[in-house]
Amino acid sequence: MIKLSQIEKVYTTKTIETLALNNINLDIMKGEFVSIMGPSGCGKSTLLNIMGLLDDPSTGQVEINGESFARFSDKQLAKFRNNTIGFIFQSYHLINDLSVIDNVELPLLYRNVSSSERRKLASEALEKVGLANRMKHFPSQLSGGQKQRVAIARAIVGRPQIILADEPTGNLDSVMGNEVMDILLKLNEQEDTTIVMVTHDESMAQKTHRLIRLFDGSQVN
Amino acid sequence: MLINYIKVALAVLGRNRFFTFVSLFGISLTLAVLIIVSAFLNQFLHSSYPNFKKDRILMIQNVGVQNENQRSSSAASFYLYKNHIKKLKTPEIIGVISYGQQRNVFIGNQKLQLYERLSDANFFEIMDFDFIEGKAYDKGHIERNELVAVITKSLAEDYFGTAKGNIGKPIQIEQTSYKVIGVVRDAPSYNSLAYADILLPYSVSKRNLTKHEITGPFIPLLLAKNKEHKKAIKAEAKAIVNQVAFPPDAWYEEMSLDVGTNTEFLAKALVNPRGEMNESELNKLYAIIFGAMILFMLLPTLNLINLNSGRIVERASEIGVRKAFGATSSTLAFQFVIENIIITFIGGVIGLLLAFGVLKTIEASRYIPHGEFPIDFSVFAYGIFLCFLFGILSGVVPALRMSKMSIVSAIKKA
Amino acid sequence: MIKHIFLMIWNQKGRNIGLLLEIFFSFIVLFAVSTYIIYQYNIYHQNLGFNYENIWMLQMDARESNAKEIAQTKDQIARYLKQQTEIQSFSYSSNNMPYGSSTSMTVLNHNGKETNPDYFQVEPSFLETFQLELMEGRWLKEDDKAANAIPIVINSELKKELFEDEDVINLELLDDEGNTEFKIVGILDQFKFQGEFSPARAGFFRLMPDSLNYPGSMMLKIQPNAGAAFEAKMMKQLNKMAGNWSFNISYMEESRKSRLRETQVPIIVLMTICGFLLFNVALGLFGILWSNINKRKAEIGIRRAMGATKNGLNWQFIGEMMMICTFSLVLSTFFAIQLPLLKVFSGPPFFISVWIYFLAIFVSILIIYGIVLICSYFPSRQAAQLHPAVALHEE
Repeated sequence: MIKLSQIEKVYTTKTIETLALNNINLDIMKGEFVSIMGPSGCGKSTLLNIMGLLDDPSTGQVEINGESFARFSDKQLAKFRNNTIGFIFQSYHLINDLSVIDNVELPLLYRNVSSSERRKLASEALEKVGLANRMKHFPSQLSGGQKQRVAIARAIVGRPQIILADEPTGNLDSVMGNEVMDILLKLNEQEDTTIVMVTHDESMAQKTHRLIRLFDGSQVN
Repeated sequence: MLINYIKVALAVLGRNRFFTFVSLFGISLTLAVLIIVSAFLNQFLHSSYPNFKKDRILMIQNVGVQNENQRSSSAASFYLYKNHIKKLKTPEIIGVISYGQQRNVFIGNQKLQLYERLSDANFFEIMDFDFIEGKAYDKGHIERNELVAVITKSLAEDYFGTAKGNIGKPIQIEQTSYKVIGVVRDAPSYNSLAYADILLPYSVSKRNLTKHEITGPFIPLLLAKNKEHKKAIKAEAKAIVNQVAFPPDAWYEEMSLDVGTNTEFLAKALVNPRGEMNESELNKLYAIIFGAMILFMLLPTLNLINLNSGRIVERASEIGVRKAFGATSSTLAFQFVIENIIITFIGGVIGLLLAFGVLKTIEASRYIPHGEFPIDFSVFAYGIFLCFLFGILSGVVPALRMSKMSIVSAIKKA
Repeated sequence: MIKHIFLMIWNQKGRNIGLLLEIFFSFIVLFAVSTYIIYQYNIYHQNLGFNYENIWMLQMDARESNAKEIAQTKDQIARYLKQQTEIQSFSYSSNNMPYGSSTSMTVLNHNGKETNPDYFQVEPSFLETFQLELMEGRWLKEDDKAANAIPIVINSELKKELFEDEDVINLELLDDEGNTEFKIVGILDQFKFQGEFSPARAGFFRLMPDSLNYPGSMMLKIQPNAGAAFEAKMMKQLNKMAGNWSFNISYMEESRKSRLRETQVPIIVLMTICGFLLFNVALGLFGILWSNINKRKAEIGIRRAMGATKNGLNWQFIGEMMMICTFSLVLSTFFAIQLPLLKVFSGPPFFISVWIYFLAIFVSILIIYGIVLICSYFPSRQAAQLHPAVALHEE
């Protein structure tokens, strides 16, 4: 499903080059729930961004569903992300100026979906995360856990095959964290969605199928 | 999609009152000034009561006589009008109006200054005066040399103390008494063809109208059917130059004249006061006006660009998320421009209200006598056009900057 | 410190370019408007050269064009006017009189130099009617009509243009064919007949010949208390004496008001628009600074933590703005200063002196600095007041 071969990422400033990722090779199967762990600054988020086609690797190749993206334009990339990948961020990144349902509809906005269809899909997604009663609220009126559940609803509303989650429980206490984790697990089981999750939390990581550890930009086993 | 943009635009407005005030202040005042200016220009250049056919009325002006050393020019003499211009075949209607003269009228010890003009009967067919009572003089009045007058409502009020029931009353100007046969609504003072307090048949003139001369105080008016027709009239009228016989003792050997609409003459006076009239002045004038408006918009636009650009960071998270979920850079740029246009339109509505208030105040102040500055359809349409222009100009730069932001840094920053 | 501020600006040059442009154009607008206003103000304050108070201007038009008949009627009118106690003084004149719309010009040559002065035809009483200020020589008198070379009184502008430092009293001027035409008998200061806002022009006065075949105009200096009643009485009498002449009377003080308005209204409109633009820019600067400082809260916290004082920080932010402003002003002054250096519009018909440009540049710089200082002071102070811990926490 996701295949990374010999990925390197170098950040260059005027004076120094920092190697953020070093020779990463990964093969993630369809339906797998993979977690990535490692200390701060080891390159976890960078790896996730590269998988999500948000960032380019310096060298190496990313393949998703057998496609490689070296020649993709901004437009093609945007379309591919929209159809195939859903994102969840540590700090939720909800748009504060939009209501919960409008936030969830966002990915559908960039597809040709009628507004009634959007509304329907978005409410279904919110039901799945148990927030059907909060549709008209604004993000500022929600707790952290609720915000993250909205973010999950937003990630799944377009029925992507892959969900990339960057520390989804990082800002939450353990009760809320577990709620969020349960939703992700259920999603993986019932809908066969491939999930890659970056986490700091060993107990969360243990619940996933596979654990990848990064240290200083390299894979350790 | 659009509803979504509007929601976000309104939310952005509500988020920071100070910025909203600064943006809307700049936008609304800029647009108000431009709408006021265009309401003025619409009156001066396009049409104002009572010459609503302004674009179809051709006038003969700049009648000049010259020899090698000297040149003198003014309007037409009555001789020229009667013997040559009146005989033109192409125009639909041919009429004449004189330059005005200031007259003093005394009511007891009170002095009243009037602006008096002479015209023929056709003048009232070319102009669309609103008659409050009575009617205009006709050919019969002129043939019978009758001392009759058409006066304005404000003169009626000043002289008789009432706007109604003045038909048949005498009005004494210097040594002559005229009978009022019509009262019209006042034309605005900037309407150079129709502004007058009192209109008299040309037959009452103290001048010797039959005198053989070329230049004089009369402005012949030629009504055209349409644009094509105007060209034909111009050609025929210009050919007069070669047919006119000069008086035997004349010092001049040549004559010239210009034919054009009032607007064309105005444009010539502003753009090309000394040179010869050609057909390009009006376009030049429009270009200058448009250029000046753009220049005027430059600073407020820059200001808005700077304000909007400064606030990109506030929206980094939104940009990052939208991109991650499939928005392309161009979709985003489009969104931000649309947002800006929406904000501009809100400012435009405020600007329109402001402009309306200012124009009404100017009308009420009577600073420009009998001026009327309605925001009619063309001014309104122009205002909408300006909103678009302003919104796009001030929105594109920040929108491009926003949409170019890389996703990773956008997400990280928030 | 200055170097440090410079570095801060340089590192954000992308962001500052907008500010730079905004200040640049504000300066250009301000410069143009202040040049125009200083120019007009300067002209306004030049000596007008005559007194317009209580003057009525009577324009006359006759149907006949017989010089002899006209002269007779004029004499008759003059005799009548002399008897009126309401009239202090009066003079027949040509039609190109103060605040009117007529002009008459001619060509004068002297020693190969040529100029186009206005020329005014008047009567000896004209000096008293308008209270003109004679500087040298004498005014015109009745027996000048018999003189061979026509005696004229020139104004100081004509003296400057055509004769410079020459002694011109009793100087004779020749026409194209080399015959003596005029003789200068006196010099007046000015006669700005087009009004306060028109630049001083060369001009000269001569007596009105009796042989004119049109009546021209009449200037009447009347007693301050004479009103419409007297006007009505006089007009009635005039119409009786000259049945087929037409008369048109206007009060010079009113003509002056409407003439002044022609320049004052554009000045007021320009100042309003300029004021609005500057206010807009000021609010904009204020807003931009505010958001800049909000973005830099962490920086503020660190600086405070490292020992910067509130005052020091305040001045640093103001300093940054002032430096951007200075860059912009240097750039725009470079463009503006080309006008005085190249003497643009310094010749006819505008005669904008170099000092006007320099004063306008100075005034514009002062105003821009003032606006920037005010707009940067408040946001900067607010930023400096931030508690370091709060500032750092925000990141």
